[in-house]
Amino acid sequence: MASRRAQSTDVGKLYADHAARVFRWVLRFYPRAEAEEVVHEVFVKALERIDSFRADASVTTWLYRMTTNHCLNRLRNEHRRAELWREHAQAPWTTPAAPADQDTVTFLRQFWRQLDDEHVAIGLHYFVDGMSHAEVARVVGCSPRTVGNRIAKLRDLALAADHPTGAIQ
Amino acid sequence: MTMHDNVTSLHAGLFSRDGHLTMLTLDRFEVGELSTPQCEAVIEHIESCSLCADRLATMRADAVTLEPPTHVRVRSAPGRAQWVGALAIGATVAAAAALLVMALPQPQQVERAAEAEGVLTASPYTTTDEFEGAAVVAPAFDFSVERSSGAAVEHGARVSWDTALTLHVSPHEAGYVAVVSASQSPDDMAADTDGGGARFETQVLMPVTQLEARSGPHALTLAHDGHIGLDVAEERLVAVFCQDAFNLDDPFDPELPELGPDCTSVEVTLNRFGDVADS
Repeated sequence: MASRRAQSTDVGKLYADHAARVFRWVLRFYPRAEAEEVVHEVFVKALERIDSFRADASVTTWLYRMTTNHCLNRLRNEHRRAELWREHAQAPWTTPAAPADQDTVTFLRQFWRQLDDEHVAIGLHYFVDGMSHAEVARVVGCSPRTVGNRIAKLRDLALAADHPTGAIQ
Repeated sequence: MTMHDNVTSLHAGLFSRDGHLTMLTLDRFEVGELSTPQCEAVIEHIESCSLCADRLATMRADAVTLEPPTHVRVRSAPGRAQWVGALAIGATVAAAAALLVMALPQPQQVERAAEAEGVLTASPYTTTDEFEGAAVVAPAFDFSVERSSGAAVEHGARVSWDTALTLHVSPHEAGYVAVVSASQSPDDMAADTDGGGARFETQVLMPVTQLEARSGPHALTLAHDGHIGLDVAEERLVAVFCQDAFNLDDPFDPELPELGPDCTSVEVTLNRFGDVADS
């Protein structure tokens, strides 16, 4: 039990240090009124998985990956997704952190429901965040080669959809 | 490799493809996770880039104060859950307030990072290091992976499927240890890991075994004969230590193993490949 108490203390510090940051990340996916609840869910997940965090890793990157995956998984629920569209009439990434090419954002909004989470996460980090292959690989936890393959597939989809030129091409 | 290549490599992850700092870089800068040269590069860029300076200022100005959840639900013994104590509300408010009043980067931030004597500043969320004001969660055992040459294999390393590896387990105290390999193909890795959709191919490398305190290291040889993947896949090597005898989940889920409160686990994840010669 001692280790569990220690973990809760660790997560308490984690929350104190990063809650505002995670809240800002969640706002990319959810409206402000709902974001705080999602932040709490992310930290519950962090508590459950703190054993998997490695001392030599970046806690910010770990939380960023967990937040992105949690938001995407949450949105993947069909009922929740339909509700989101009905309520807000828009997809995620309403507040891109970087001035992403609007065609790119539009493309991802159109296609994210058809893609698996890994493609969406890689598309988000690459096309919206503007990260390099290596940085996306580090955040997502795969190889740069896998990132390259997924981006190529996204580009193929864009071409097949006769999508307007933009960063995604 | 030239000095320019070194500098480019060092800063490769800091900047987005449009030449500005990524949001994650700004966040890591704020937290203090960047090395001294990386901090210097960030500060130098911010001083000459109004866009990134504005982003950093906006990031700080928009920081909100969030009340922590009253209780956090945590998985405990198999099949049940338990409520543990409240998180530190005061610390949250203080930290959020600090975010609001923080100024633009000052030179002493870099000096403090330099004093850490490391390329990367240490994260406070370590399971092995003690730091003031936080509890310590020390693993009850050592777990490491080596090539046949004796070279250590680090977490996240790229290793071909046909590379023979040796796993070393050494408990600090008497207890029970098990080691499991769980791998995912690239297609499976795309599946949902939270919604139960992920599919792991698991292999028990070391069944639950009683070991004496400070015994070992106990060596396990890991070879995947004939297991040649067509693309990169992820293999998780999970070692579990419990003070009391336990049963491994069937199937074992490395995402959320059912472990008792007296258990700790250590995971080493490898990026496996089979169609490229191992270097």
